[in-house]
Amino acid sequence: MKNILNFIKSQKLLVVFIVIFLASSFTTKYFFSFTNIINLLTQVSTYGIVAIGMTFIVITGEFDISVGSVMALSGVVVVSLINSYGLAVAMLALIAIGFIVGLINSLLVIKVKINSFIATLGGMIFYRGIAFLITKDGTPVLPKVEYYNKISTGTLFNIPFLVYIFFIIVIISEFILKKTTFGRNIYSTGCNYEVAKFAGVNVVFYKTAAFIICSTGAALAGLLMSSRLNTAAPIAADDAALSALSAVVLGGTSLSGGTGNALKTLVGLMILGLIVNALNMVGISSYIQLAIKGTLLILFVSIERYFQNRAQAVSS
Amino acid sequence: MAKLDNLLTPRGDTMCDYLLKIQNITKKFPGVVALDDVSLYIKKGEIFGIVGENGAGKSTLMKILYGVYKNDSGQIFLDGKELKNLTPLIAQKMGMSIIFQEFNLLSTLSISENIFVNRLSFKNRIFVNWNVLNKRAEELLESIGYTMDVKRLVSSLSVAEKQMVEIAKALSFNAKLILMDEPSATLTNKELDKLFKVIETLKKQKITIIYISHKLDEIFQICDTTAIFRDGKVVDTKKTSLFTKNEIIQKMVGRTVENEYPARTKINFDEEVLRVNNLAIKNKINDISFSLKKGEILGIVGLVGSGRTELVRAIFGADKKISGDIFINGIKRSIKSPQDAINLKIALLTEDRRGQGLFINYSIEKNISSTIIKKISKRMFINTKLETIIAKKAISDLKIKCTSEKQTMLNLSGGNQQKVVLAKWLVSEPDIFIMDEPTRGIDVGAKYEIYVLMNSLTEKGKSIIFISSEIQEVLAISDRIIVLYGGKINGEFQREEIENDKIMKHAIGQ
Repeated sequence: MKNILNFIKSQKLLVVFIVIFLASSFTTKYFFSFTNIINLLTQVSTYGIVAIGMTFIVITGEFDISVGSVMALSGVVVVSLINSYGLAVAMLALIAIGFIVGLINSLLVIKVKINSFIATLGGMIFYRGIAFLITKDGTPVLPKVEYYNKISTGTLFNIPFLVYIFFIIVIISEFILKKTTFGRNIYSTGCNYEVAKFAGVNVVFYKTAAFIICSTGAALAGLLMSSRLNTAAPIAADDAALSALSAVVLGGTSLSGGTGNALKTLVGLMILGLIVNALNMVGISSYIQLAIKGTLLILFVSIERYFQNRAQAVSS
Repeated sequence: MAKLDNLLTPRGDTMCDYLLKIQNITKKFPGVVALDDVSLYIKKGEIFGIVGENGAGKSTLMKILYGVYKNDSGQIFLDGKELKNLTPLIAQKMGMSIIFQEFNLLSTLSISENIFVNRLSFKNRIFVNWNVLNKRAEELLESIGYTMDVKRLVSSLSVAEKQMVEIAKALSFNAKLILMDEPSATLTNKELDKLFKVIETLKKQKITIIYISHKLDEIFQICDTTAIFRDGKVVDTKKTSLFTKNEIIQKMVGRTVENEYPARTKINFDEEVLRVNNLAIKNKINDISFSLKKGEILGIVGLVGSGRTELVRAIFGADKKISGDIFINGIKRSIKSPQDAINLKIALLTEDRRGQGLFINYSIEKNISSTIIKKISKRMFINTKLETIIAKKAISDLKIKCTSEKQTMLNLSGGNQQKVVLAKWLVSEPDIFIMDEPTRGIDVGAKYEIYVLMNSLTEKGKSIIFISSEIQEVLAISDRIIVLYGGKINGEFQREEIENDKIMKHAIGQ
């Protein structure tokens, strides 16, 4: 009994997730169906990849709100290139976008010392503009090759590739963060920049790497999204940054850096996805859904904070 | 437990003279009794000293008095009134002010804003009268012998100056009782004399002061009464003049301490391990050259602002140099970052433990491994078993008091935190240790352990650059001393010619 209580205390969000999950299963009979569960997973996967990348940068104590624009830019660039030059060139472009954007962001934040919110806000506006420029008048670009759509929607055991890709990324990220020197140094950089620097951690490198991981994740998500929808619109993913940040924060990764992990972000994502899915099932309009999502986010984080404050008061 | 009878007999007072009565206070934290039935009776207008090792419960008591923690049991009376449900705000209103070890200043605000934070407008005005505010701030600082531009931002101040602002802030409350938690830890002798003068003035105005310090000389110099804490208990309280220094030390540590400093054996130093030639840092350091020999402890003495911290930061590659060469074992090396320095087997224990020394949210284990994370990894993966083994060994070698290597730093006392900092550098096996204020804010017992450790390191052929504001300890354990003043070397002394006042003269530029 005590063990169960302790588990609930330490894994409050997971418990919330299970409760919402069970509640949803009872309210509508369609919820607990294979199709719906897969549908739910597919829905969270693209922004999920963004959120995992965001987790890295948030752990270092910064964040990146340009991810949505990077997704749109990557989508239109990749589709345009795939139409004329094929997959290889498109993939190179994708990696280049992720790399260059991350490098610019980190340069602005680390060397020019601009706050990461402002630095990436500038990028967010800029890359969106470029995406529109490429497409001329903002008309979505359609892929002319047939296999493109299959990258995301092709299935194995009736589960779309997109879902596999997402979960592989979650697992690899969790592994990197928990087990590797690279991961530890990411945490150290965010935990205390000065201490890490004096301990010989190349803090500039790790912050730059985190920015690059974040924007490369976004670029990849851009490809997967355009593949799933079989179209690349420059207007796409305008809510990606905030959705991803919501998931990261809801999962319990602190914006002040040094804590959090990929699994936490996954739980945060699933809760948000589940709420939307359940509300859709009962037929609640998407406007009310937004209000409910916002309220729940604040509510969960407040509760988490309350327990944290109490724990700190006891321990110090 | 301090018995009431014992307390009263030597002092011969009645209860009603007491400003502050602390009765049977107990405070427990998970796994530790921080205060165990503590009672203290403090007279109006007296300077009441509290001594004790780190973790003895002094700071916990201060925090209870100031309403930061709640006591589990016991009572507190101020001027005969029982204080219940204290918060810092109520404590301030009741006439108590506190100067914490870790400063509570807002670094992006000015000095005067910090002093009058929360009370920026006088006479219930809505608008701030900056002239009046600044003038009052200036007056307060002048009353402790400091002339400063009060419009300066706190972030631009040195540690000593910040402390002065804290003291001025406490004075600004017209407090009846001022609690000072290690106020002298960062002060130079000159600044300390000033502080003592202020304390004497306050005493004349019948203001009561609780003075916590590790430095027994100070206790004897200014405290009327002294209480000794050990393991959360008051082991003795009496007039300071009735104590002897050895008696206090024995009661603090609960054992006999032979000497304050371990003996240092004289060796001939031949082999040069570090040579600094014509080092300069913009606006801080001018043309400094010196060398460090194998097995030597080189003391660096200088007032705050003399450039001593900047000098070692530059050697460690943390700050940019304008010019100058560094030779390690006779080979010219370029040190552009702390990584370069660590690769050349140099370690820097920084002055600011919380800001630069420790990941405060990390476990002990992760802090210790932070300097050797690459060494304990195979390819990309951290060998967490090895990490734990190394941490466990360091904990037992340095006698770090903790529940386990997984404990976070937050709950450790200052002395134990410093031992973790030492441990993290020891495991990186450097040849040259630079220690900037390694004994700051830690107790007699832990200091002695650190001196012993320094001795044993040099016996193993390591070399140490040792910086401290406590001139006594630099004199006691250094083989050679260089004195910095205004960013330049203003004297060098061998062990034989080390004299306290001579060195002080050079440190103040004479």
